[in-house]
Amino acid sequence: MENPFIKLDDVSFSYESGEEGPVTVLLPPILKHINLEIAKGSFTAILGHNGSGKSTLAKLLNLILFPTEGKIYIDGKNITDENMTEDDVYEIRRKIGMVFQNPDNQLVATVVEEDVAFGPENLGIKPEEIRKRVDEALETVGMSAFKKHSPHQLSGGQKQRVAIAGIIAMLPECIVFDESTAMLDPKGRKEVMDTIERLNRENGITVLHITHNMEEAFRADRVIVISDGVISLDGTPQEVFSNVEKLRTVGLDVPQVTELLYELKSIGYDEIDYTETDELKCAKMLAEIIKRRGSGDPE
Amino acid sequence: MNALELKDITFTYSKKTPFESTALSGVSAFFEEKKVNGLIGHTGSGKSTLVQMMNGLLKPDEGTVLLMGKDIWEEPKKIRQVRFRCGLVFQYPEYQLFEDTCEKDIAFGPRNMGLSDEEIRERVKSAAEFVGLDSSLLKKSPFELSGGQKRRVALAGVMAMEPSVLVLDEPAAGLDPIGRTEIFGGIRGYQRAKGNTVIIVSHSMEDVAEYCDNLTVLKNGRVLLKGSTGEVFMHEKELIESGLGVPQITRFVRLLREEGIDLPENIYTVEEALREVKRLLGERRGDNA
Repeated sequence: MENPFIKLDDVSFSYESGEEGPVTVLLPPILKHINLEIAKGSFTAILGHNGSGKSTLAKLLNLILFPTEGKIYIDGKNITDENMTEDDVYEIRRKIGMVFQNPDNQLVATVVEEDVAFGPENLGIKPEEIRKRVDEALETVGMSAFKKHSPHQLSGGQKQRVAIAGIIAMLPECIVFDESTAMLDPKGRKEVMDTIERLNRENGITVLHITHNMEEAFRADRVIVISDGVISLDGTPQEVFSNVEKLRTVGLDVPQVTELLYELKSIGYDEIDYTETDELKCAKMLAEIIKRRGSGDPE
Repeated sequence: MNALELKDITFTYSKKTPFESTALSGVSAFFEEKKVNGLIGHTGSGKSTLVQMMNGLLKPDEGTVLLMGKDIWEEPKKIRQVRFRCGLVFQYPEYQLFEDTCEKDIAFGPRNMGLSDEEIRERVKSAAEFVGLDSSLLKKSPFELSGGQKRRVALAGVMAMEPSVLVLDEPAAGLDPIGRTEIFGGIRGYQRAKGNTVIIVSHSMEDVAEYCDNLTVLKNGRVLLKGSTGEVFMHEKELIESGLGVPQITRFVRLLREEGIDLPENIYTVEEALREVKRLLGERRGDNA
C-alpha cells in the first residue's frame, strides 16, 4: 500500500501482570506480530471475540498503550520512536480520536455545547474558532438543536453523537469507534452508524469501527477479523463473510440472511451467492430460485 | 397464571421539583409464569423504571404490583422478602462483585436468606453449573477472571437465591456471539430446570427472537404491543417507529413475501426461515417429480 495512514510493523503487546517485584512480569501476549496497513480515508470494521485483542489494537494507535515490540507509523511518522515528545503524543491523540462504548462515561460537561468545546479548549484554540468548530461539529452529527441541552436528557444514540462531535471539533483525521454502538437501542445504533458513514464518505475521515454486530461490519469497505492476537481474516465484507465456517470457529457469527443462504447453498443450491450483501437483491435471488425450482423448469 | 402483574402503574421522578418527569403513565403489564418473557423498548421508554417496580426498588405513585398474585406493598416492612422471590440482575452486573472469592460472592444472597451451610453449598454449585462456570474458578478472586466469567459469577449469585421470578437487564450486553449464546443458554437451562419465570430486558431483537416466548413492547411509558414473539414481530412498522426493529431474518422474509413467495408472516429465527424455505423448495420439487 502506498502511504498508508496507519502502519503496524510486527507489533506485539503484552499486559503487565501487576505483581509487585523487582522485575516486571509480562502476561502472555494479547497481540502477536501484527502487520497491518490502513489506507487514508478508508472505512474498516474490526471483528473479534471477547479477549481477541481488538480493543488493545485500537488503544495502541493513539498511544493509550505502548507496544511491547514493533513499530507503529501514523501518516508516515514513527510514533513508537523514543524521541517522541509529549507534544508529539498529544498531536497523535488529536489526529486519532476515540469513541468508547458507554456514552455516560464520555461526557464531562453539563451542557452539550460545552462538552463539545472541551477538546478544542484543551488544545488552546481561540474562542471564536472554538465557537465555529462546535457549531460545525454539532451540525455534522445532527445535534445542533440540542446544543443548550443537558447531556442527561439525551437518549443513548444522541449522547454518542455528542461524544463524536467532541472528537470532530478537534479536527481528527481518523476516528476509532470501540464498540460505540453496543449499548444502544436499534434506533440509536442506526443514528450512530449513519453518522459514522457520513463522516467517512463526506468528510474523508479514516474510520476504524470495532463491533460485534455483523450487519454493521457489512457497511465497511474492509473487514478485519482478529482472533487470539493475530489477524485471521482480512478483505472486503463479501470476501470475509464468505468464510462462514472460519468465522464460526473464531467465535463469530455471520448476518442472519448470509447464514440462511449459506445453509441453502450447502444442501445443494449451488446457484446461490451468499456473499451478496444487499437484502433486496438477496430476496430477489432467492425468490427467483424458489419460483424456478417450482415452475417445472427442466433442470 | 401470571407470575408478575403490574396494574395501572404511574411513576414520576423528582416530583414537585423543576426536574419532574413522568416515566410511566398508567402502565399495565403481565408476565407469564414458567415462561421466558421479553421486555423491549427504546432508551427512555420506561423499561428500567418498570424493572425496578418489579421487586420494590421503586414504589409506584399509583397502581399495584402483584407477585404470584400477592400485592408486594401490602406489608411495606416485608419488602426485603420480595427481593428474594423476585431477583434482579442489572446491566453489567460484573461491576457489583465484592467478595474475595467467587464462591463467597455467589453465596452472599443465599446466606442472607438464612439458609443452612449445606443448602448454600448446594445452591452455589448448581448455580455455577447453570452459568457454565468451571468449579476451579470458584476459589479464585472475581478480579482474576475475564469480563465474561465475572458476568457469570454475578448471574449465578442471583440464580442461587432461586427466585420465582428472575429479571435480567441486558444480560448479554457487550459479549461476543459465543458469549451471548452461552449466557442465554444458561438462563434458559435454569428456567427449564427450576420451572421459574424469567424476564429479559434487551435491545437486541435477534436475541429476544431467539430466546423469549412472548414480548412486551414499551413506548414512551406505555405498553405499545404485547403478544407471542411471532405476533409482535409482525408489527415491523410500529416497532421501527418506536426506535426498535425486527430481526434481519424477519425483514428478509417480508421481502420474499413481497416477491410473491408464500411464506408465513411470523418467522423470526434463521432456523424457522430455513425450514420454511426448504419445505417450499422440497414441496415444489416434489410436485415436479
